Amino acid sequence: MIVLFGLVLGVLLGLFLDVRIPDAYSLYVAVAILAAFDSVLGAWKAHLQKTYDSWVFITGFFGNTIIASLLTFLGEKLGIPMYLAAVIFFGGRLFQNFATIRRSLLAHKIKGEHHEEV
Amino acid sequence: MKRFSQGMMFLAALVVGLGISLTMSQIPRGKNTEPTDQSYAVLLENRNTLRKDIYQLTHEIDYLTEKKEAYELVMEDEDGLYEKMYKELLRNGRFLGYEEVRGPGLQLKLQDGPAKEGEVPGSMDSWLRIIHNEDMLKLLNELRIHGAEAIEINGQRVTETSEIFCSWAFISINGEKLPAPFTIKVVGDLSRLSAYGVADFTQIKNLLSRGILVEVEKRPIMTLEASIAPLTPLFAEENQR
Repeated sequence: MIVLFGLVLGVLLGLFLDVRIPDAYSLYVAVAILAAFDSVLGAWKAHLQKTYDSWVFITGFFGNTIIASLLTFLGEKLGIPMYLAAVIFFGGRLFQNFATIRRSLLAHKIKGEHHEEV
Repeated sequence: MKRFSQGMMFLAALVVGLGISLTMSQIPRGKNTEPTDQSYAVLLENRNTLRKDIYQLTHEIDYLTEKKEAYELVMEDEDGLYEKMYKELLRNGRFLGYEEVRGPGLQLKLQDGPAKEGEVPGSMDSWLRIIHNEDMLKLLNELRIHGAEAIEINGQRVTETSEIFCSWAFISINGEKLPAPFTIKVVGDLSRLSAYGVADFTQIKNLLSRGILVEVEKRPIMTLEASIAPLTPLFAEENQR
């Protein structure tokens, strides 16, 4: 739940903050957000499966974001939409993670097992 | 540790939420900005065209900047040329009598000699003690030989177009009738002029021997006034060949 709370709070903050991302960087930011979101869902999934490691999360969060942005940059330079690779990969994994989280949460609910609220 | 991991995930989710919100706020409302495959290809082509244009314009800027710098360089040279020409004009003006001249030289004062007792007007004695235009011409000629660069007689600059003409009791220079005594200012090589001032068998000595009063004075610096209006030749033309 803390992840959802953080997301909602972030969205609300973004709506009230008068910050403008330059148009030239909007694609980079979008791809970076996708990568970061994937990392967050991955961390949530790991937490539910009790395999969470902060260092894995931190390195994944920043590493994926940077690589996704670099792919986008490289694609811009080469004239090939290489950011699509990041979109497909992180998008697909995002759904997988979400599915795992969903199943995990449902299993906990149905079985009535105790799990730590995140 | 649990709190730390929760904090980390909260922060990461906050950042993601913030990013989503900020990115979404960039998209104009009520307008489908998601490109289709076709429009994406068109947009990509447009972008590549724009990049090409930017590349060409950058080169054009470089070329024009170089051209501008070259013009500026030429302009600087032209400024120098203009300065040189202006200085040459001033120099010519000074030596043509259009502008005043400063420098070292001699100042000579010439005055008709006193009449002798019982002198008959129009006699040889009378003729000898009076300064004539020929005397002045000879004197100026000798001064020029001995280093004179600019000469002035009673405020009138003597140049190559100046006449020295006898006009009854006056000498006419540049159309001006000048009475005696004559003050001749000579700017030039002071050492040569000084030597000339004391040398024997000169026009000065000749005038002195005739009873004409001549004073020679060395001047380390003096000014000769401009007295001639710029010439406008009516008949003489520059040879264009």
